[in-house]
Amino acid sequence: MSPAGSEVGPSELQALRSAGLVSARGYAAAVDAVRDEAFWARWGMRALLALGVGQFLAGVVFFFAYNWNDLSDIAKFAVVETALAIAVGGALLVGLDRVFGQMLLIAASVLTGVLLAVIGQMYQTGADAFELFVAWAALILPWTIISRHAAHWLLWLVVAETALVLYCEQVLVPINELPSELVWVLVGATIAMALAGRELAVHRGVAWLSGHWTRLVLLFAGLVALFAPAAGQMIDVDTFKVGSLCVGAFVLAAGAASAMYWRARTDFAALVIVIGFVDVFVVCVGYRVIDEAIGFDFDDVAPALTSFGAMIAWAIAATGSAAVIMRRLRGNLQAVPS
Amino acid sequence: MTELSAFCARTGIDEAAARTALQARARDDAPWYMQLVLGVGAWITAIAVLLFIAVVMDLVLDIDEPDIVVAFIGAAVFIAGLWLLRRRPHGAFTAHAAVAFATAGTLLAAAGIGIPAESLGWAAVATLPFAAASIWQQRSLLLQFLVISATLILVTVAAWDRWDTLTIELPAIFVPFGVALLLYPPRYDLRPTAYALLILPLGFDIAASELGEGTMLWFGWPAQGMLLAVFAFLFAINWRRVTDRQGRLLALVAAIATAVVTFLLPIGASAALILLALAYTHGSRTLAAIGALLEIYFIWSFYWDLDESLLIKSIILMAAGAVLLLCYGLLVGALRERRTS
Repeated sequence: MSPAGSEVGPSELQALRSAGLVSARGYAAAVDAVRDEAFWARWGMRALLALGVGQFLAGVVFFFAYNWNDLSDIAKFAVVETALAIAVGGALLVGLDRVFGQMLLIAASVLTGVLLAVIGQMYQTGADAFELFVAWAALILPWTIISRHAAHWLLWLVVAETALVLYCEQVLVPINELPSELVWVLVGATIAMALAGRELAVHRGVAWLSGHWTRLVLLFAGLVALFAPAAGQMIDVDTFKVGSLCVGAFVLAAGAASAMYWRARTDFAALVIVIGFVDVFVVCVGYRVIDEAIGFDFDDVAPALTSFGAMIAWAIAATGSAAVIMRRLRGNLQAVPS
Repeated sequence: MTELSAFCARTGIDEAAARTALQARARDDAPWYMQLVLGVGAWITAIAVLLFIAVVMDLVLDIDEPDIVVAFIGAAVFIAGLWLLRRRPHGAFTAHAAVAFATAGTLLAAAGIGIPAESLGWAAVATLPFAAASIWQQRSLLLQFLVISATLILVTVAAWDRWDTLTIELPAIFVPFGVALLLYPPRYDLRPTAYALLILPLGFDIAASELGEGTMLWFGWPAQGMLLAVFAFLFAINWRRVTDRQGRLLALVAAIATAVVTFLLPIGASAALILLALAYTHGSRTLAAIGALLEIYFIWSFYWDLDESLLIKSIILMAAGAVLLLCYGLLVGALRERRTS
């Protein structure tokens, strides 16, 4: 309900049902009264299109997978290249200002990767896998730029990040140029840069990037990549230098995101994502502190009870604090237009 | 969002009473992503509680394996959690501790009954009173979801253990109950139970498939039949929203097409389609997001289904896709015609 208490949405209906103001039989009619009819009509049409296209294309892929081994090399190239040509031609024909045209260009970008994979399968040169992804990211970048579609950029980012991970793991880590623990820190940092780019672009009026989901997906992905090494290092630190880098990167990203979505671009959902990761990280810190100070020893009564008791208290304090912060933010941010 | 006055005028509800009910409702109305963060925290705390009690059992009470004493300890911990929730429902720290303790208490009681009896079935039965109490308390929706989830997981694992096979048709049994609870809700708030009934069984389907040992009863026909019945029910509810003859004809064509697709696809994908239809009917964006993600997963995982050859699977998917695209084309054409006229 709105702060003034003058509006009602689907989540408020249960309160009316519990108070006996809406009957079980009348509930569907009450849902109709608050449901955004225009939104759901649009959603229904798009869902039907997405399901139809998705299943049909999956069926086509399955069909070629079934016959793949029986196809000649020329036929394999012909199949993929024909599909690629149809997708690009279709996109040009329909126009990139229409969603269908943009979808066709995304399909072309995916097919480019398939074509590169087929080339790799036919002419096995022993090259590292990262080169395929680098070539893929480079080849589809012009299409990504001209399509002006958020999902296309997300696809490009996934391909580019995969190239980065493979390059680190296949080249930099084996020659000791980069500790393996920092690979995901690098991934997190680049996703954070993409998020910063997205915010800047939206600030400058790039409307097609302004979907709320783009912010949340990038923020979540960036924090996952930074959280995993930071938590791992916190639970079992190997070296101080690497550990402090992993933890420092996570703390810096969480701090920057908090400041950004609390003050500059007020966004409660984004703040909840940050608070969730920080909450679990603080629990990991508590585990480390208790382990160092007392130790989780199952053989001795006093240390065992003290350490597990302290862990319970710490976990309650961490998540309780997160709950308090989220409630206060929710109350404060309701008055602020996002 | 709709203006309260307009909503009351349309549904014939007394506006003053509605305003009072909305203002008096429990404060546990946080959005789902906030509940998710608190739920993860509650699970971590519950695990710490379980380890603490394991230490007490082993080193203080000298109990090697959970027994009836542990079940009583679990019940006591659960009751203490409920008491705490009743005393201070709005305190962030106490509410979190109460949810974690009550969840841990439920699991302890299940272990205390199930392990001595060497029966997962008895462990599941032991959680039933706790599930009932978690529904009755109405202070924390999160606690209701966690305890009901624990019960459903134990019931499913017990059934798998009893039949000695991982049947993947459980969504079909749970889905109608979840749908009924969301569309005809009782006065007790059972939304967390409904969500657990709708989503968790699909997780069991995924788990069974990942383990590679999933089997189907009578080739999945009874399950597909039940899902079709649920889809028909959802269609009937939406039928009254369409008033003109052409619209009804198109809706009927779309429904028959979707029903055919529901029958063709694997059970998980059909159940995810039901979630999408329910999201549309109920106006729930959360269900729409979950249903879409599950649909993508099940179509993707269909590739590794060993019951059919790739050729059969490709024909099924192409046919299903073509039918849906045909419907889409018909609907777009009809809408354009209506706009023109």
